[in-house]
Amino acid sequence: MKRETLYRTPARTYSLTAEESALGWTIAVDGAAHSVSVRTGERGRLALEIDGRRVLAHVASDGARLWVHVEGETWSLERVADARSGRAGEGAAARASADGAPTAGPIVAAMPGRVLDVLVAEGDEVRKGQALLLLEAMKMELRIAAPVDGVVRRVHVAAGQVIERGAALVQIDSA
Amino acid sequence: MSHAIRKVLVANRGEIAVRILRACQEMDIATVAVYSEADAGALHVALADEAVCIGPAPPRESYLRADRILDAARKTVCDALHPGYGFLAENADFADAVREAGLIFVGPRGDAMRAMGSKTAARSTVARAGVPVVPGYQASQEETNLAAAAEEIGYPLLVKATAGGGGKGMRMVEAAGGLIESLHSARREARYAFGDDRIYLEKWIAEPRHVEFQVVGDHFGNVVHLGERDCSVQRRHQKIVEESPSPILDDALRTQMGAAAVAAARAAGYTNAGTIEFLVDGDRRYYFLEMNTRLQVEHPVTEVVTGIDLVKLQLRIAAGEALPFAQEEVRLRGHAMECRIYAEDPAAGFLPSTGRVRLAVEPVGPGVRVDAGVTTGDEVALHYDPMIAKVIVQGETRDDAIQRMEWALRHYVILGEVTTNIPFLRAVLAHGDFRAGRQDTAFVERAFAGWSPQQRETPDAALIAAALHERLSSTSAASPAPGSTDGDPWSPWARTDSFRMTT
Repeated sequence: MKRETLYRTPARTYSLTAEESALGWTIAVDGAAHSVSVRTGERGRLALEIDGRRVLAHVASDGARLWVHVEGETWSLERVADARSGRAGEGAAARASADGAPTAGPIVAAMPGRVLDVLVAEGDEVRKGQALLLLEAMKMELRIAAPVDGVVRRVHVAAGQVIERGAALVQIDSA
Repeated sequence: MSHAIRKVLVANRGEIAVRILRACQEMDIATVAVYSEADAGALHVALADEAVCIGPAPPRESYLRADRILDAARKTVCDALHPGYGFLAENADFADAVREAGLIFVGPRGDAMRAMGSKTAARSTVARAGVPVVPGYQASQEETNLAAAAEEIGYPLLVKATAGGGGKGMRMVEAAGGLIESLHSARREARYAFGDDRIYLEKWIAEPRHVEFQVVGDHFGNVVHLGERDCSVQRRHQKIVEESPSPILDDALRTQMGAAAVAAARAAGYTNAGTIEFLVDGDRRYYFLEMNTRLQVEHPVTEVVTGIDLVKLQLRIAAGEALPFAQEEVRLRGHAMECRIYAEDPAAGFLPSTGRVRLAVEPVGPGVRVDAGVTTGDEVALHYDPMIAKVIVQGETRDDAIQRMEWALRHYVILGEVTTNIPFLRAVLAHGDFRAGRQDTAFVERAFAGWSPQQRETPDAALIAAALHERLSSTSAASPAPGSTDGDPWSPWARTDSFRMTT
């Protein structure tokens, strides 16, 4: 069973699909497939073999937030959507609107902030995961990414604008 | 003169409380922890035989409340108290009060603390014993006298607070024109910080090394030094890497400085464990800086090279035993290094970082020791020192110790809202000047001004690990249908709050 999940870092959003077969896992990062085998250990330890390379990782999570320690470095991620269920997650700065289908309404701000930059224009074709806006919220810079492939129908905000929680940001018609 | 210690109250928290509790457990001494309301679930509380809450989270309402700590000691019928470092550890009145309450204070006497607590008194005391001090002036507070003395010392110079510490009330004066203004602002700051606006002048030692000697004295007049620690790697007056032996000392200088350290401790009538700090200039001339009348954060470095457990030794001395070794029996072996792990965010200007540690996995292996105050599930709060752990390694040589430290830092897993300075420590270890042993106290400021961690793409391995972690943990407990949160209080779908990302 294939299933797609989006993970966001302050820099960008990544699309992950994972499929299990008798031979192990096939995991695609932004469409690039890796063959992966895994053994789980105590306390969040994962002994991975990724395309034949052995990697030891530790993972901890709290709801949609994940922290990964791999090869001496620590990474923080946030799960923003699960495409299989067709439902957007509760993103830090933006989420899909009311009924949860990412294509039905505009992307709205989940917390107050300020628009630093608008990276797309109405009529642009966008790919899922592509950055649409840069927001500043809670003193952090956050990228708002397209939840689906599609076309930008409407940009509701401009650079410099201060936005309230729930404000409409960008409307995308899915491809 | 020997009084067996049966039960010790540990008047501290965090890693040092844990360290002391472990020593007591080894010696079969019962333990009592004290804790603030914020620390009810802390590691040191869990490890002690008994624990007493002494008040709310702010230190002045708990860990600095001598009265409540003494009450706790009486109620639990302790016969000794170990103060650790920080909080009340160098408070002479507290040491006296502990003794007046009929308890053994594991540390020096109050009068020895007083003799060394004032920087000017300490300078006079050790200078009389023939120990070199930084050239300076402390004979008068009159501005005309100070200005005349400043001319004699020469510029640049330092204005320092008599009651000082931690860089407070300290001013560097480049030239005569800036002296009066610096005197005034140093006095203001000292009055505010210490309630004492007396100041003194000291010659500016350019790019010094910070080299300190561990001393121990018993109640029979024996004082011995246990070698040095080089603590030159400092960030904003905060030590971050310490090592022994110092890369710049040879046996001759070690013998000379060690003898000076012993003379300084003797001059103060010092007992128990203490540290004599020296500055060493570019020509390897050394000057007494100050004495710390307590166990130091970096004491494990000395334990590693000497094989002596300083906390157990402190308890034995406090119980009235004689030092079990003479100076010539102290041997230094190999090279020890310590890195201090701070809960701070190097990507955000080293601001303190708080929150829960979701997962902590300490590095374990030959020659690796971790003294940690927090572990998986613990909360790092803003009330206390952001130093959450120390990694200490032993190597045959300095290079060997650096390699081992690099390994240990790479394998220290600390996951959760809390971020640490580990990436910064690794950058320091990798720096050419550090590798060459050329660090002085300005090294970090010079080499790492404006440093921030390298921003890189998240590696595929991290993303794959995250995705698999979620897939594998959701197969055991099938994830609920979208929109339904029944029976799954941790479901991210049920969250209505916002949360911050802290990469």
